[in-house]
Amino acid sequence: MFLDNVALGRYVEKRSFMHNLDPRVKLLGLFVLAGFAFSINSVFDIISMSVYTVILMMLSGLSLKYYLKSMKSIWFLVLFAFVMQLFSYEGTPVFSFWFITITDKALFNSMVVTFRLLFAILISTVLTLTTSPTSLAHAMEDILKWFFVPKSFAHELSMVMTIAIRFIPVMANEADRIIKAQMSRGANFDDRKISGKIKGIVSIIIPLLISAMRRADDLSIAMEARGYHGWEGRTRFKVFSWKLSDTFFLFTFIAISVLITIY
Amino acid sequence: MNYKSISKIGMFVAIMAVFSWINIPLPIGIPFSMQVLGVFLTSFFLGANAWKVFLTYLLLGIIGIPVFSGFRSGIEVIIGPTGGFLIGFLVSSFLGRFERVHKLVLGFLQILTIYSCGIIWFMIYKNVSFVFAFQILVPSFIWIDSLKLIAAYVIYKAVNSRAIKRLS
Repeated sequence: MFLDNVALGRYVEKRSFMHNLDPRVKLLGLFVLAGFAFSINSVFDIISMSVYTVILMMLSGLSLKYYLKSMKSIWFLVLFAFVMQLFSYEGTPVFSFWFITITDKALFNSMVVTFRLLFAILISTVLTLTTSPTSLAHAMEDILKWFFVPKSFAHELSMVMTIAIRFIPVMANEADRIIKAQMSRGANFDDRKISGKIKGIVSIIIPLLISAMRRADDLSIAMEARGYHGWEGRTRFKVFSWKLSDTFFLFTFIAISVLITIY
Repeated sequence: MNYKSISKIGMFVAIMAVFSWINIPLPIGIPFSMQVLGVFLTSFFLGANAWKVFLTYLLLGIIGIPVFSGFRSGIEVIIGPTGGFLIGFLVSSFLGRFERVHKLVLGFLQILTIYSCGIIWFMIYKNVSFVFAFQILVPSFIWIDSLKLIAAYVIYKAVNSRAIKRLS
């Protein structure tokens, strides 16, 4: 079935400038940029942001098809935002046909809205394509610590994320096995009646939940046995190191955010 | 926070992802997603810790793991038109704190929370009136969600009587 072979994450392994950056600065920078993308409101902003985004995409060393793939689920939304903005009646008309009148102001507004969405999506795609999920989880822990979130909570969150990343494929496999097992025992998921469907669902979920709880129990015992005791004194296998290129990236994204806010 | 609840939260995030993927089409054409069922079950079982599951779930989605329905991921899903429901999951899971309330009442309040978040988000996003958003989002889905609530309650009772006793 569909659940037994799931590729997790969009991360593409490669060597490039974006890949080598510190995950912390990448996470911070790309989220700041994605946030500031929503304050775009002039042609200058659009041009400077597109130049910057294209540079980032080129530095990631990945072909355009990865980015297009991430746009695939969203192009309709972008188009819809564009069309919705197009039909406001302020400003001077530049184009009119039958009952449709498009004004310059509406055209400009719809451009701005479309580009805001586009930049937010592309920039977050750069982040997820060039950083592995586990290092993102760890980077998130460090960043939360910088922003005065309690250390224990930040650590807990990244620990839960790591566990979830590890166990999502396992649980998907388990669900697949349970579905097959119930089908071989005569469960009928194609029942036309609602009550039949619900019975089918229940027969999957109960074993799935019980097995998940058993796994959680095993895992907690394993963690205890290996001396896990929260964030205090915990070290990592991969230590993030701050390089010159990270400082450079930090300055460029601060500069571009300031530029967008001023103009 | 001890390791027992950390491992449990992590496991429920994984379950939530799997629930978002399992999608059973109904004869009327509405997809029968199990996400809402996952929300009920998570808050029934984890209580006050349930919101951590959904915080992690959303963060995982943002950093590009395809945990949302239809194997989607990325910030574009959350800022999309139905992103309000995903945020509604997080908001409604705070209700799990009230462990003394009857589970069916709790679930009903969660449905209300999820739908109001979804509707408000949709209204802001598409700039439509409340009535229009209500008509699109509520009537055809809410009765299925109520059925899911009952199913979640049945599952909660069954699992509780079988698993918890043996494990703890």
